[in-house]
Amino acid sequence: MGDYLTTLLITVGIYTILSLSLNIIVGYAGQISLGHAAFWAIGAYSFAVLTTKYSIPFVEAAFFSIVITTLVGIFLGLPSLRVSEDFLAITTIGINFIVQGIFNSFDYFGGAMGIGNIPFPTMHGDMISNNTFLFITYLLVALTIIISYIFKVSWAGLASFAIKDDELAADVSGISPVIFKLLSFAIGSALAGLAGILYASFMGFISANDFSFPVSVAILAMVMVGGEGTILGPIFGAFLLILLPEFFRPIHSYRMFLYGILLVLMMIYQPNGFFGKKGIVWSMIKKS
Amino acid sequence: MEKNIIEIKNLKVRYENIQALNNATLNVRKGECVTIVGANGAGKSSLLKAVMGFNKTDEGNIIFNNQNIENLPTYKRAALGISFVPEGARVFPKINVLGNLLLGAYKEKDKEKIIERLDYIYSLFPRLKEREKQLAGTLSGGERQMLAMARALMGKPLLLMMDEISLGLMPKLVDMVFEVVEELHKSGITILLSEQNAHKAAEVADRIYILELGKITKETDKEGLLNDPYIKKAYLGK
Amino acid sequence: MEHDKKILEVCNITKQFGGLKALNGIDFSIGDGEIFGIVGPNGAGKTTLFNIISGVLKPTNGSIIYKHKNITKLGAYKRARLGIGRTFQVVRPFAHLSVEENVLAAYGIRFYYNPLTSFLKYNTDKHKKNVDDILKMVGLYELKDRVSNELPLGFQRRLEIARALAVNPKIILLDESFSGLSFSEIESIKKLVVDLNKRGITIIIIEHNMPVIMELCQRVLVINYGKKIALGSPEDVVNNREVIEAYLGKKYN
Repeated sequence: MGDYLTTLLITVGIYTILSLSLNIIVGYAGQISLGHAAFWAIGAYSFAVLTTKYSIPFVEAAFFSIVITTLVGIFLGLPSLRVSEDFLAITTIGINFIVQGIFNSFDYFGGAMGIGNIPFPTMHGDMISNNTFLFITYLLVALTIIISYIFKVSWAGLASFAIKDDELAADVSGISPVIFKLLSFAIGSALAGLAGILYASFMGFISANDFSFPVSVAILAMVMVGGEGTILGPIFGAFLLILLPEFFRPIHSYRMFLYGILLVLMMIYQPNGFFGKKGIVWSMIKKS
Repeated sequence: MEKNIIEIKNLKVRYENIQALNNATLNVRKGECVTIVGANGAGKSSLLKAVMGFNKTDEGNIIFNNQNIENLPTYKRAALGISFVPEGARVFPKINVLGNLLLGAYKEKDKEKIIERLDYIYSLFPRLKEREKQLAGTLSGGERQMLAMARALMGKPLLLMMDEISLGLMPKLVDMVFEVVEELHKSGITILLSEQNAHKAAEVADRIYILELGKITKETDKEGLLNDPYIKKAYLGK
Repeated sequence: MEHDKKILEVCNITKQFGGLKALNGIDFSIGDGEIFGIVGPNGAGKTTLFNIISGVLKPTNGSIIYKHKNITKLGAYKRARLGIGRTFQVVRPFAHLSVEENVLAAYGIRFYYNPLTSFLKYNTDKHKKNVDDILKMVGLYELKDRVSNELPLGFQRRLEIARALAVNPKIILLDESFSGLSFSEIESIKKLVVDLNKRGITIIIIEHNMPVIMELCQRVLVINYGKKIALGSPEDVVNNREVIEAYLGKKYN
C-alpha cells in the first residue's frame, strides 16, 4: 500500500475512534461536548511527555496515558453534573481552549514548539512498518466498536439513554445520573486518550494547534452527520468527513467551511443523522 | 338561526403513524358555546390546533367567516379573529399580568379602546386586577389559566377556542373557570371548548360533539348528552 | 391510626424557596399498607412535598423517616432503590425508549448496582419475563414495543406507574395520575391502585378528583399555603369548614 493511502487510512481510523468516543458522551449520555479535542490532546501529550522526558517504555507509557486521560475526563465531566446542556456546551468549549492554552504556553509541554521525537512502536528492536501500524490502528478501531456495542446493549447503555431522555425521571427510578454521566465521560475520554497515543506515535511530533477548537467541532460533526447514539453513524461520519475533502482536492482548504455547511444542512434535513431514526441510509438498510 | 362563524369540513390530519383527525366535520354558529367531548387521544387538541394552524391539514376545509383558512399561517388566522388558549395555561412567565394582557391586544392601536378592554377583562377576572403587577410565572395554576383566557380575550376574538381549561385545577377553580366561560357565553362571545369532563361540558354548552378516533360520532345538546345511554356509559360513568 | 406499623414519617418539614415558604412545618406519618390522599389548592405545596419525600429536593428543615431510618440526606436514586417509587404530574417518560425499555431501565437497578456489573446485558429472558408481568399488570403489555412518547396520555400515566413498580417499591407516590383521563381510564387506574395495595404496597395519592380520593383513601391530608389544615378520614375532611372554603368551594356531595 502506498504511503499516502496508509497515512490517510490511519488518520481515518484515529478519527473513527474519536467520533465513537465522543458518541458515548454525546450520543449515549446526552452530554453535549464541544471540547473533545482536549481529551485527545491530553492522551497525546501524556504519551509524548512520558516517552520523551521520562523514557518510559511504549506500552507502559500508553497504559498510563489512558489512565491519566480517564482521570482528567472524569474530573472535567464534573461540570456536567451541575450545569444545564447549553452551559455545558460553553463549558466544554472553555475546557478545549484552556487545555490547548496550557500545552501551548508551558515549556514543560514544549510550548509553541510542541514535542518531537515521540517513539514509533517497535517489534524485536525494529520499528514496525506503516502497514503494521495501520493494522494495529484498525484493531483498536475494532476494540472501540466492541466497547461501544457492549455499552449500548448493556444496562449501562439503557440507563444512559434514560438519563439522556429525562434525568429527573431516571433519578427517581433508581438510576444515578452522577454515576452514568461520569461513566460515559470516563469511557469516552479513555478512548480519546487512545486516539491521542496513536496520533502522537504515528506523527512523531505534536503541537497544541493540532487539538484546537475547530477539531472538536469536526469530531462533533462526524457524530451528528452519522447519527448520534448509533454505532455505524459515527464511523460513517469519520470516513465521510475525512475522505470527502481528500477526494476533492480543490475543496480541501475549505474543509471547515464544508463541515459547517454539512452540519447546518444535516440539522435541517436529517436531524438524527444518516444512520439515526428517519436517516436516509438507515431507512434504506431497513427496507432491504 | 345565526350564521356559522366556523365550519370544518372533512378535516384530516395525520402525524407520523397516527391518523389524528379522520373526516371531522362540525360547525359553530355566532354566539354559540360548543364543546367537543372525547377521550385522550381522540383528537380534540389536534382539532383545535388544526383550526389555529399549528397542525398541517392533509385534507378538508376550514371556513372561518366565509373564508377558507386552511392554508393560512397561524398569525393570519389570529388576525382574522381566532384566539386559542392551549392546554396547560401558557403565559409569559417573566412578564407581569398587565404586560401579558397588553400583549394579547397587540393588534389594537387605540389606547382608549385598550383601556376599555382592560376594564372589561378586570370586571370578569377581578383576581387579575389584584395581581396586575405580579410576574405571571409566580401566579398559581388557576390564576394562570385565567390569565391565559383573559389574554386571549384582549384580542377581541370572533371565536375563542380553549383546550381542556379545567385540567389539573382544584375543584373550586374548576367551578370558577366554568363560571367565567358561562359569563363569556352570555356576553355573546362565540366559544369552542374541548373537554374530557362530560358533566362540565353539559353545564356550559349549547351543543356538544362527541369525538372518537378522529371522527365526530355524535352531535347532541345538553339533555341529549345526559340521557344518551352510550354517552352515559362511556363518558359519565353511570 | 389503624395501621400501627409506620412506614413513612414526615417530621416537621419546612421548605423555603427564596422568600417563599413552600412548606411550613408539615408533620404526619403513614401506616404500612395504607392508601393516603393529599389534597390542597394549586400551588399549596403538594408536589414540593412529593419532591422532598422522593429525594428530588432537600428540605430546609425537618426529616423524612422511612422504615425507621432517617433518609433525609439520601439522593433520589438511593431512595428508589430502598423502595420509594413515584410518578409525575406532567408525565416524564424516557421519550425515545420503548415502553418495555422504559420499565427495563428502572427494573435494572435491582441487579446492576455498580458501574461494572451495569455492563451486563439486561434483556435476558428472566428479566424480560418479570418486566412483562409488570406491563401486564398495568395493561401495557400489548404496547410494549411502542415508543413511549407516541402513546396517548392515559397510557403514559400507566407507564409511569409501571416504571415506579419496576423498582420493587414499598411505597408509590402518585402525583395526579388520574388527571386528564377519561372516565373509563380513571376507573381502570383506580382498580390498579386497589390491586397494588392488596399486594402490600403503600400508596400516597395527590389528586384533585375528589370522587377518586373519597373512594380510595383511608385518610386524607389537606394542605394550604404549605401548612396542614386538616388530616382525617375523607368524610371528616370534606366536611371541614376550612377545607370547603380554601379548596372545595362548596360542600362536597
